[in-house]
Amino acid sequence: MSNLLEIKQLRTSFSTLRGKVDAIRGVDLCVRENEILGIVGESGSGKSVTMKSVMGLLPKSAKVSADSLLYKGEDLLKKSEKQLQKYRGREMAMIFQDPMTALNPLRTIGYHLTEVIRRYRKVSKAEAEKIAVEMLRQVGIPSPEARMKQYPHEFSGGMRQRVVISMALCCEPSLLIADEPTTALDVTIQAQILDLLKQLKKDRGMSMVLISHDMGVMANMCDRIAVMYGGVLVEEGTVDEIFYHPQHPYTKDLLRSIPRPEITRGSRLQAIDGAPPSLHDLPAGCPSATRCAHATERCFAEMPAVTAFSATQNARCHLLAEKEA
Amino acid sequence: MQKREVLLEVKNLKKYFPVKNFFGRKVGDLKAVDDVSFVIYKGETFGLVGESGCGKSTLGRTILQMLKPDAGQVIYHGKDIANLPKSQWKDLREKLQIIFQDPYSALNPNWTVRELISEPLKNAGLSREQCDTRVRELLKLVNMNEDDMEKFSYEFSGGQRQRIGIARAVASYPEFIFCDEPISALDVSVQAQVVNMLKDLQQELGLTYLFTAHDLSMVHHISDRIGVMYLGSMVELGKSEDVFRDPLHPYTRALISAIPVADPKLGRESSRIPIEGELPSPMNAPRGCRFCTRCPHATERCREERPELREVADERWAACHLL
Repeated sequence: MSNLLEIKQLRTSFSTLRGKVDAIRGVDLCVRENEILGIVGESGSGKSVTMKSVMGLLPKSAKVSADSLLYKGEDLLKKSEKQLQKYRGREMAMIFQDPMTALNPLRTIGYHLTEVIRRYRKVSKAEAEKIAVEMLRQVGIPSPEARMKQYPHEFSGGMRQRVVISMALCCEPSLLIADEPTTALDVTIQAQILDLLKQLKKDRGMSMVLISHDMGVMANMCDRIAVMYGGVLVEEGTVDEIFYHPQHPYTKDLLRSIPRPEITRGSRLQAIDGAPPSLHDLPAGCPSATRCAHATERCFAEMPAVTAFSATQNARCHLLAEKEA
Repeated sequence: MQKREVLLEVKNLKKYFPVKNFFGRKVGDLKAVDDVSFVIYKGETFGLVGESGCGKSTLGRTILQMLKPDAGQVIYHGKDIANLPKSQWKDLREKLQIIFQDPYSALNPNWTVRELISEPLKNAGLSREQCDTRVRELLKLVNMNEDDMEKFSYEFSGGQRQRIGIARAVASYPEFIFCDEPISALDVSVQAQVVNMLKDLQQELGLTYLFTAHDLSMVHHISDRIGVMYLGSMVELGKSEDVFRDPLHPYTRALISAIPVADPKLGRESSRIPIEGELPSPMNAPRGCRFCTRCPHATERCREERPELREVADERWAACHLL
């Protein structure tokens, strides 16, 4: 499998009133063809910022630098804004958590869709409408012709998310980035949307990056998982490796802290002490050192290097590196 | 099993919100809670699950009399508190408390932690010194520092804020706490801390909880018994492990199969029971069984006649004609 997207040493910082904040501190990540990569992490761990950096969707206060950002072999960092426009939407598309804010309440659903289609394809208005209806049908919206004339407030949360997905798919992107696509939805609707995304991925053979904090969603959707914490990728591996053989102490703690009712009912959950670190005063060393039960002095002082455990799994931890050596 | 003491009994509770048109004329009712009856035993955690808009929060708030019920009774220690005059409410308020979903908006940002936690104590008539001692005790109880007393809520993380909310709720020695999605706004790693703390406090202080959360596996984990709500009515009720292992009502079955299991192998093997369509608007809920529009097994009878919640097996209740 070849790599669709290859990120090397991505660093993103924001200048704020309280000084510079390093949101991403050297992330290496790749997305292969036809796979679903999951990025898990708590709020502020940098999972959304990573993908927004790649898309070039961050505000001006953000500074993005990387050794390379290869998309289909071309370095996105070397592209001008105008050239990047060609990638956004057509090659990579992104859907967001809250489908209400992603849609303009004053415009019809049909307007949203035809705008996207006409921007990227040279088609007449009537043809664009035909494509839009077809798109809505594909994402499972009943009676799409009538729905085209309706406004976002006439749609339920799940239906709105379907509209947003259909907008993202209009130009048949090779990479779909879904940033917490189901967090705002109920479980039954979440299951419908996840099934839809899986089906679309299969039908179109596209790659997907799924950003979420829900380990349950991750387990059921992803081929590979990357765990982020404090702006650093702490562990990466296939879904089975992460769930059945986690290596990094933070991944282990994270998996232990979610309830698995068959096992944990009635007993105590193993909570992780403390809170996620503030990005304003990150420790110099391993970001999870302050909450890690095994942390040594070295962990606080020095950022650990990547240790590989298999062809697909690696983690950043001093203790694991020492054990392997 | 020993005889359990009933703490709260809810009988045919109804809460309708009037829906008005542009000119302020009433055009209908939104039946948020429609004829719900159940009991909560002393010392247990009763979990409420259901999709958003099914009436979980309204039910909890109506029990606490934060919302005035339109009909029905809430019997607490043999007294019907739903129809009590306001003057007799003061003592009850101390005994029935609530923890809110969003610790960011539930705490007044202009108040210090001392003021936040001592507010219910002042209402109970404690002196300043007594208040301070109790606040110190409470902070210790929720694993926070005494020095935090003079800080403001914005100086804390979400998990710590929720602990302040918990300290406030338990300040006046309550018997019953309605936990309205207390963990939904928190990070995954912090959720477990708060859930553990709620469990510890329950044992130490002999509390009874009514607990709601979006995360169904968390409700399963913490609850002794569970009630499943759909469009304002209770469709299934039973012991937590029974309801999750072997759900009876078609809606519960679909709901539980939709929970994403945090186990890739189990996830690949299990199949989801699809649930068609979406929640109908509670303004024009179906006439018969509330679930009949989405139920794969619905018959003519389901569309005409509303099923009652009845005991179908030992300690298991469901509202379905087909059982």
